[in-house]
Amino acid sequence: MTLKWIGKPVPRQDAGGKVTGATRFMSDLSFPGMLWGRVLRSRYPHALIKSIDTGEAARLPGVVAVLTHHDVPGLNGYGIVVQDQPVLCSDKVRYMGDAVALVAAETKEIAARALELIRVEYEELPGVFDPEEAMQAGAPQVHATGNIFRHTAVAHGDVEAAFAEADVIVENVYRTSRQMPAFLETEGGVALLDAGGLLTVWCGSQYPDRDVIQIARALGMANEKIRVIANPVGGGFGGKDEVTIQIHLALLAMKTMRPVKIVLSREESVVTGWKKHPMVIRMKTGARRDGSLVAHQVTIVSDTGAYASLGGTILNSAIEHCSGPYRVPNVQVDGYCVYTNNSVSGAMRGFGVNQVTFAMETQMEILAEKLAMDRLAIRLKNGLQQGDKGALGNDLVTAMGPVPTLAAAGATDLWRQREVYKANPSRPWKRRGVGLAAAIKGCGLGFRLPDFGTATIELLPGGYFRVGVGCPEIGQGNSIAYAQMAAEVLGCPVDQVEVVTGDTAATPDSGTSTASRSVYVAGNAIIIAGQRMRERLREVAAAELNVPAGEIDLCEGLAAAGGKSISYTQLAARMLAGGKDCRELGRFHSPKADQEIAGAYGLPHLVFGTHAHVVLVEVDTLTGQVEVLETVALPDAGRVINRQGLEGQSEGGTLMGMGYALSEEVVLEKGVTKTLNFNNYIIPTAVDAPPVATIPVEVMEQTGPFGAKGIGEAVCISITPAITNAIYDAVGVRITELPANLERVLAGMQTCGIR
Amino acid sequence: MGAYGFVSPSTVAEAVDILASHGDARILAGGTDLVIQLREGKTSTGLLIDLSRVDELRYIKLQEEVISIGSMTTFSQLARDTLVQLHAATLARAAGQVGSVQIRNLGTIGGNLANASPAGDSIPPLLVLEATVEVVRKNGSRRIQVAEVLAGVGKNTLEPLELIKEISFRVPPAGSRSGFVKLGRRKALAIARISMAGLLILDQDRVIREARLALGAVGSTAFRAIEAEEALHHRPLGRAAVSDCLEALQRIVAERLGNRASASYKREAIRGVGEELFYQLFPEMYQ
Repeated sequence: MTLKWIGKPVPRQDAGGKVTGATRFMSDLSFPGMLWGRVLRSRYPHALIKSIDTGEAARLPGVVAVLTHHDVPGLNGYGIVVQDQPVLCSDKVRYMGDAVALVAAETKEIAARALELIRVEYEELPGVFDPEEAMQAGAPQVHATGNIFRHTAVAHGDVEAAFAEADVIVENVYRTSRQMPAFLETEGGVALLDAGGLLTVWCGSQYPDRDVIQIARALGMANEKIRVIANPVGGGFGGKDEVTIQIHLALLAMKTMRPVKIVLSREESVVTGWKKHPMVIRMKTGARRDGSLVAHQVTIVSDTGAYASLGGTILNSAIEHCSGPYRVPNVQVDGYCVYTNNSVSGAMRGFGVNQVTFAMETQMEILAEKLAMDRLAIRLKNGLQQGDKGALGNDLVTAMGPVPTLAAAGATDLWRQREVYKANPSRPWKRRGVGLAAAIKGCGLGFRLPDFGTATIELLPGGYFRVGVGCPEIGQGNSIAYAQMAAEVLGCPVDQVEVVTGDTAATPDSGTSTASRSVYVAGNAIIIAGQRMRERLREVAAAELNVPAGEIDLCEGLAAAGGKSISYTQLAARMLAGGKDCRELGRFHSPKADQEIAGAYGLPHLVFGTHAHVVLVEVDTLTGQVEVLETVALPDAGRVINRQGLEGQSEGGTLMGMGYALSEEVVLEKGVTKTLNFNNYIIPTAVDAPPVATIPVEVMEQTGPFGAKGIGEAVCISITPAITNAIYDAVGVRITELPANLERVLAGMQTCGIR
Repeated sequence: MGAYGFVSPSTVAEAVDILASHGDARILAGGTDLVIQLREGKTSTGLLIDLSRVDELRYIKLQEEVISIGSMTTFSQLARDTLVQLHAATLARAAGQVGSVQIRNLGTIGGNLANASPAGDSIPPLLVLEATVEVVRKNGSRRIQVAEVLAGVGKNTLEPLELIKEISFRVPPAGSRSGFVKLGRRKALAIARISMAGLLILDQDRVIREARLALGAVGSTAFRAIEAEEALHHRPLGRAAVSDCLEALQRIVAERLGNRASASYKREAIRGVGEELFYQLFPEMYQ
């Protein structure tokens, strides 16, 4: 099959608006009579609320509403899995980001003043800030149900027997940091109740359809009375998967009957928002003399903070990926997702896989060294292949990319010529190193949750098509991929396809824009809807051209057969005559594994994307400063739909994983966030960014649209251990705790000596 | 951010007049630090006096072997000025490493000095240039050393009715080289973990006639590292002198920081900062 649009360098349809600023941020929205909403946050990381007095705040001129838990008409709770997080706290606060009261006022300044006038009487409780301490008997209890939100214990094979046979065993403890999404726009939006009783919420969101459910549940409203429209700019990275300000906006708009806007300050966003789970990972890995892995024992303690959100699911994702892209016949894992009074952890790009892959890819390097094996060879020897069993004994029945991706990494100039690249550091006291790492990341929601994509295709006057998909465009580029896939199926130029995403009144529920899933599920749904639309076009064209429908070829916006043709413009005129609609819906259900892994809710995944990175670093042996000089990113996204889109993901992911490796860390002291803004939360800047060469490795996935699979998360995973492995190659310091900042690298060199 | 008044005078005379009659006024000399402090509630003011329209405070001139810089000269102007690049490379380099392009376009040398941050990028260079500061008030002015301006973290010695008019320094003699090194957590928008300025004057036979070294972000104010300078004086430029200087720097940092949390890192890392400074000044020494 020759492809006309798939894989072609088609410019993004949303690029112009984003570049010129015509596409607006939530903070730019304005409506006549709009009020400013603010949220009163907790004063303590753990305390009982004895009383809340809003009287003085309510009397302040310009204040229109002050709301507390008494004003939540429905369920005073939210959460994707369990609704353990109060919309507004009534009796207890569990972290500094907890919401206690809401204010709507005529101006920002009045709203800020009103917050100061709300009197909350607290009784401070001892807090628990270390997840391992939180597991001990007698620790302060964050929730009445106990501090261990989830314990997952799974085993496959006989680990003890396998360790007894291993020639070499490596055992280490790894600690990972709390990375934040650092999205371009903080959580924000506007809610507006119209005269017809429809409540519309514009907001940064990764799943507007679920936001509707969570808003409706808290407000005691019908889902049909709520519309959520996701902002296509501002970014998410997982941090806008859970509800942020949506319910608060809705409460204030319903109470005041006026448009209300909330935009969190960066500081408020950092204190309240969802972050990557810090994990303590104990890993013991055994291998035979020939390098083959035989046993892997892992314990994970994951700090989910004050509320669960997706913490349990993320723990299980970490468990599923605990052996990285490698085959291990005997695995035992014990994982704990633990409540603390720290800031909340939730979905963030990588979903638990960054942490375990960092650990596993360090284990592999240590094993290679102990066995005197080549770092690439030990990886290739153990690389997962289709037909293998995964870490938990599940059958890997779909296309697996680790071996071809690692082989492609090994074929890069940077890897083959690494000694040349390392030869001339920029200063006599600096050392260079080359690192390699690989990762797999499951696409989609796993075994248990409904995992579907839905798309509508509507024929428009003039022979144009409108594609509707619920998964919002949040910058990742799914909408141009949708347009290309639709154009391919429909046989029309890509600029005759318009894509709408993330509007519950205009697009069908297609699940989340998370989990590396939106191209996979919605792409498949578009193919189904597109094929139905083709049949409709053929039928009408057959009648017009007087030929059998089966002989009609659809191409370039023409239906043609036997030398005769009719344009889509003409077909649209016939098909839409008299005000008729022509709309097709496609729904795709993700294939699932045959059975769930016993004891591991929601596992396994069926389809996996793979990613490898090769990286060159230079380490200053006197200051511990690490500079990333070159990176090669090797994504296996199956068939590439849009090359620039893939490169965008690859470059952004590489930078995000580099920040995780070297500098990013939300620091809390006894539940209080110390890194409130980008002055001391250090993300790489443009001048820190190394060149990123992207080399796609297209291992076609039979169940994917045109062979594609998701890659939005894998791009940020392998870079982190590739960098820490390169640091070892340069100076002989093994990084087991992230980030590898100045102090840690220098201390490592002082302890181990510079190799 | 509390409410406050705002005025934009167009001359120094107007500005000092306003200062004389408003005890609670603050000077906005770019605002890249002050506005953040106001926003965070860390400081307050009754009146902001914005100097951005005082054109007579923006100049860089060379007269009789003295370079004079108006206090409202921005870091962008300093970084690209050929006089500064030629005669005070340490200052040009430091100015070019401040924050980001946007911050360099707004931030000024006078503001940086008055703000008195231990990590203020322009201060160590001014210390090694042995710059003096002209401070004016209504009906008066005085000239003091840069070190005399600094009173502690974020504190200066100026009186509320004074403002910095000019910073000036004698052009270093022929045979001198100056540089600046900043160690941060990233390449831009980084607050210095340690910064260091150096100015060395060599004889024709490459003996160090004079060495001036200053450190920033080590303790509460930037300062001259006298003991490290002395390790270099009258010695031939070479490994032995450099090693002694680096050891002296380590002692100075250890002494300054005591048991602060950052001490164990900084007293080691200062070697790297010092080494980089010598590399910048004398790359030929490392061939």
